[in-house]
Formats: sequence, C-alpha cells, structure tokens
Amino acid sequence: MPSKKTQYIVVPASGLVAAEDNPQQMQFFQSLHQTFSSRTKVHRMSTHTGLLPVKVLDSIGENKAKLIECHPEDLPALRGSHPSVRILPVVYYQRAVIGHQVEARPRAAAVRVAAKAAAKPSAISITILASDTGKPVAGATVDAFTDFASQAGAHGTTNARGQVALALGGSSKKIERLYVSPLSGYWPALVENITLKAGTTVPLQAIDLTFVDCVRAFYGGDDLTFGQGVTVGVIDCGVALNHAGLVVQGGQNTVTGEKPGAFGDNGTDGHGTHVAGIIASRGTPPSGIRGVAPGVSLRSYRVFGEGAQQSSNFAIAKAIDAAVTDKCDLINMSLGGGDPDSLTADALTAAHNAGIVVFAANGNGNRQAVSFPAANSMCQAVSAMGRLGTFPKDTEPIEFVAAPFGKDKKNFIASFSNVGPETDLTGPGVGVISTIPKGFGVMSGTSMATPAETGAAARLLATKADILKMPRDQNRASAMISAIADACKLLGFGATFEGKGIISV
Amino acid sequence: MSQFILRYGGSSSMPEDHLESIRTIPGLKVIDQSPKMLLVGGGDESVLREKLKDMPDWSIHTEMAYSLPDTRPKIS
Repeated sequence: MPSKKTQYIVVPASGLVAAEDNPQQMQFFQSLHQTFSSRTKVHRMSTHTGLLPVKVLDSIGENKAKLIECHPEDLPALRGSHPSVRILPVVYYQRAVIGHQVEARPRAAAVRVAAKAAAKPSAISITILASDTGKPVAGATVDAFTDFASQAGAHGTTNARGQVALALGGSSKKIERLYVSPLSGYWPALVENITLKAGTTVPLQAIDLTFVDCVRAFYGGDDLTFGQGVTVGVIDCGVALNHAGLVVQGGQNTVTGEKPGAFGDNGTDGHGTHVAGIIASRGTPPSGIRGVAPGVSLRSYRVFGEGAQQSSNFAIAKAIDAAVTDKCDLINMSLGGGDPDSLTADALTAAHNAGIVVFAANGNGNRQAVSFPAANSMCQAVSAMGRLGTFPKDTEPIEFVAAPFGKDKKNFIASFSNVGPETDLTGPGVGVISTIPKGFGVMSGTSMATPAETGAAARLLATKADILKMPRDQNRASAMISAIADACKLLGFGATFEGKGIISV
Repeated sequence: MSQFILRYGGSSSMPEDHLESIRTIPGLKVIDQSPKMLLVGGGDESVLREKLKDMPDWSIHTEMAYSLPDTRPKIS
C-alpha cells in the first residue's frame, strides 16, 4: 500500500535558479511552473519506470524552486531520472525553547549495586581455536554480554595461546551473546546462551577464499578487465599499499599534520583496505579474492589520522576536492553520521559539477534515518542487504537476518541498515570477504554494500565510453546516474529499503 | 574560539589579497590549507565573520567529526 504523500522542494543540482546554459533543466522547471498555474496542478514526471504523478503546490518563479507533493516511494525513480535537480525534504524549524527536567535521585539499592560492581570481578579464561586445525587464534576481540540489552558484560583480546581472561566474576557465567571478532583469516563468531567456565573453547571457521559470499553471489565473474578505464577514489582510513591483491595508483592523505603521501592503511581495523578490496581486489581464489571491478584505477584518500577513529569534515572536503583534481569518475564514502554538514555538502556539489558520482553508506543505525552524507541529494545512498546461504552457520552474520525479505525469499535487508526515502540503491553487505592489511577478513555493514555498488557502477560505466568521454561537468554526472538507474533491478523490498534496487551487471 | 573552515567558491585560486586580509585578523592562526580551503583557529569569530561579508566568494563552516559505521555491539 502506498504511503502518505509528502512535500518536497525541487531545486537545480547546483544553486537555486535553473541554469540558462542547461536547456533541459530550464525546460523542466518551466514545465513544472506551467503545471502550478494549471487547474489540476498534477504533473506526470517521466522516469525510467514510467510516468509518475506529482502535484506542484507552489512555485517561486518560472526558473526557481518548486514545492511538490508525491509518495516517498516514488523518490528514487524521480531522483534517478532527473539527476540535474535536487529533491529535498521540507524542513520545519521551531523555537529553541530550553526545557527543564528533574532527575530522580539514585536509589540507595542502586548505589550499593554500583559500588559492588566497582570492585574488580574475578576472571574466566576461555580459549579461541581454529575449528579445522585446533590451533589457537591470537589477536581476536572477544565480547561476552551477560545482558545484551543493557550492554553489560566483559571483553578482551586473545593472547598468542588464543586465551582471553574475561572479568565476569564467579567460576562460571551464563552469557547471553558471545561475539568473537578475529583479526584476519576467520569468520567472526556469534554464540548465544552459553555458560562460560575456565577452559571453555570457542571454535572459529577459517575463511575459504573460494566461498561464494554475498558480493560474489551478485557480482561473480573473474574478468580482470571489469571496470577498466574508470577511476575510483576511496575516501576512508587508507588502503594497504603492500597487499598482493591491490594496486593503488595514487592518492593523498588529507589529515592535518600528516604527510600527504601517507595514504596507506592508518593502523586501525583495515576498514579502507576491506572497502578497496570489494571494489578492486585482483587476487585469484584460493590464494586471493577478486573484487567487483578489478580493472579500475584505484586511488586512496586517507581522511582518518594514524590510529584515529574519527575524521574531520576539513579532511573529507579536501579529499573530495583532491579526487576532483585527480579526475576520479566515482568516489566511495563508506563513512558518515551526525548532523548535515554544509562544507561536505559544498564539496559534494562541486564533485557533481565536475562529472563525478559519489556513493555513500546509509549507516548502521538499525533502521534509523539515512545518515549524512548519504542523505545529501548529491550522493547515491546505499542500504545493505544480505542473502541466506552466503555465510556459514554459527557465524556473526546470522544476527543480521531480518525482514523485509525480497521476491526471492533468500534476500533480506540487513537488520543494521539505515533506511528511508533518500535511499538510492541497495547492495550486498552481510558477511563480505575482502582484503585487510594482514590478509583477508570478513566484515558486515553499509560500508561494505557501498563499495559493492561503486564497483558495479564501475563495471557498468566501463562499457559506456560515450558517457566517460563527456566533458567533466554536471551533465556527465547526470548521464552516469541515469545509466546506473537504467541498470537497476528491484528486489522487492520496497523503495525506502532499496531505492531503485541493486545495480545489475 | 572553535576551529573553522573557510572555503573559497570562486573559479580561480584563492586571491592573495583575501588570504592576507584573513591572516591579519589578530590572534587567528591558519592551521592547515588546501587549494580551496583554510582551517583556522584562534582570533575573534565575530571579526572573522564581519571580514568575510566583504568577500562573497567565501563561506565559513564549523569543523565537524565523522566516524566509520560499525556493526559491532559494545560493552559499556
């Protein structure tokens, strides 16, 4: 059943007035203006899925902003078919009234419990082993939740003997959920309702690089020329420059105080290397893994400092500008969160006007609204989906299985994925095998779904020489977005979950 | 004063006289710069904003932080 109609503002992709040197855009605004003056005020907008009715409620002028009303689920088709305009939600402001709340005093019993908890509890030592060889797994992060809802429990990292001492108190403890996240080489594990005691062992399944994970299920094929002629910039925490499966053509570190040439991995969890591998890894199973578009020219723009978990918008805008200067065709941004930021928005508009398409992650807020910058209309916002049968049982990805399921009941939208009308695409992002600085690892997230779609777009655009040859301006970006929209296939989740669907190449 | 980012929206490179005018604001330090932007700190914010009114190609933005989306639950 269609959802309630919502009001949106339509403005040009850049600025607030339709450009005179863009007759197509000008004609579009003029025709909406004429509709506003008509009796019905209903405009049938052309999209790649057919004509969609849109009510024009107001118009500032012939070539200026329009207030429209349409169904939220129609937005992806409208945005995909009219990339030279922005369709923005109407924002309502209210007075900034400061409220006052009285905080209840903590009860004495609660204070006693807190004081007791402050004393160091005794530890239970468990061992993490490889399921096939029985060898200890060192460097794995273990999180044992006694109460998952209140995030109570203990955590630690395994030593060279695969052992970790968990400060849980007592000689045995019932654990609601036990997560084990290995550094590399194994699938992350999730064990539910287990009682831990000294000597408990937890097996981890080794990664088999011939395994068909969700990315390979949708984007198989081993042609090393896939994506050739397309330059992709990865804005992230750097890409391991010495990984045998990756060829990084160049890039820049845009972090204040760090060397511009240091665009390799920043020493955290290898997120940027994993993202880059999903797009462009050139390895061959069983010793390596093949990305979605191994033929692309890959560039790394590092915006997270050495060991840092956060990046500034200055570094991100600088990286977007650098990708424009370096003539990237596509940019991947598997990052986000927080309030909309005018600086990054300006840089994204500049990238669009320079003929670049930016893909950004919807965010992992468990069905919250799409994060910024993905929510910015200059970005292709990507949600994450998974597919049953593309991860081993008793591994962490099982917890991300959730409704809605697609027309093919094996497909689902990952439980962690943010969703909303800004969603443009969905991509495989549950239990993804890819490169990490010390080998290969499995990660899940909209961070993984985004490069899968960036890679798919590169595969597609590599076959569209006429578009790639266009002058680097907003018409080129619009042509690329239209080509992507035409190649999308709906999987049956609904528009707010999947936008135009998955890029089918 | 917080750190601010000044972005030049003109088609040329950042004009030297504009840069000089920004740099002469008492107490203001240019912490980093790119071909289109300055990261600045210190000085009086109102003086900086007043000066930018005479330079329409410049916009001023607050420095913000981004993180990588994570799916791992954390023990508090």
